[in-house]
Amino acid sequence: MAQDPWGAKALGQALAMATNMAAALAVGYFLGAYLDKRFGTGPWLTVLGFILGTGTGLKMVYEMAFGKTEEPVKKGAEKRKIRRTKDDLAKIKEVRDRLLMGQDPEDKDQEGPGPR
Amino acid sequence: MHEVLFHIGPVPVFGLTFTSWVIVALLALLFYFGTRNIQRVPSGLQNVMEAIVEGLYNFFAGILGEKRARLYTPLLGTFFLFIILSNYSGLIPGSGMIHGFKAPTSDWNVTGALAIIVFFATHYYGIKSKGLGYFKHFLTPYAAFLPLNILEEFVRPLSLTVRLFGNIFAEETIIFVFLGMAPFLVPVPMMALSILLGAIQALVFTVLATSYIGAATEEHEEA
Repeated sequence: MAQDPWGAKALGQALAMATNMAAALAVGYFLGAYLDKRFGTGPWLTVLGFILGTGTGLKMVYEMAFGKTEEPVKKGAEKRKIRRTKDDLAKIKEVRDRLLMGQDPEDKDQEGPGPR
Repeated sequence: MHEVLFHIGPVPVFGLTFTSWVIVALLALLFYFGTRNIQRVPSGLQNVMEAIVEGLYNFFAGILGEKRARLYTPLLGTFFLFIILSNYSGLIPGSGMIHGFKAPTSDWNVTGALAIIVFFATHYYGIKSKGLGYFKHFLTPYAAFLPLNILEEFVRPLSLTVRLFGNIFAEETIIFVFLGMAPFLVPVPMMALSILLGAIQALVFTVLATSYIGAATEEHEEA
């Protein structure tokens, strides 16, 4: 998102938080109550709707405060990034060794990019 | 509570419906006559209209970016102008004397209609710009959030409705009560406050509609 002209977006979100929370509870509760009346399922759907409404309200407030995740998070996506094969490890080790070996003489020989 | 002014066929026309028609007609006529013969160097009414349109466009461009602001300013700017005029219409001196005259946004039928337009516009523009990939956002951040995300879509219009209607209705009611207590000078501070409130609520409604449409049509390559 681009910049915020005169803080208008921040103002809007700040004023929206309270009513969003209230509206989320109301929608959840009344939807549950209506479905209960429709199907005659006792208090269960009202309770479920109330809990879902509370969850929605909290989620909306959280997303306003901390920003929204854009893409669906895929399971194991992070693990795959971190996991390395044995070949990778060997390669990393080799490169690191080479760097450590080569660094000392180089630093002494040349003036290098030190502070001027 | 609702005063029926007259009937068109079997349909009753309420006072606030008629007021909103007057506001719509006023806006339409103002912009029609302001831009009827456009000059290269603007003067008079055209100058004012250009300032309004350009100001709104720059405002939305700040949130949405130039490209999308060009697409969505007509809708969002109309929201802002209609809401701010509706909010202020209750403050016109002598408006209380006119039979059936009432600020349209102080009734939740009007604000609800506006919120429903936002609801449908958000999904329409979202599907139009992203295709079926638009529905992927219902699965963020996890697929388990699907019921919460669906519920959220219905919470937004209710929240927009109640916020706008509540603020304006409360403000009008307080002024009315003050007028009943002491009609001279006492309601003036509240009226001054409601000038500020009217502008803020129009801005908030518009900004939220903008950010909903913006979030629905945002492309990730843009950044």
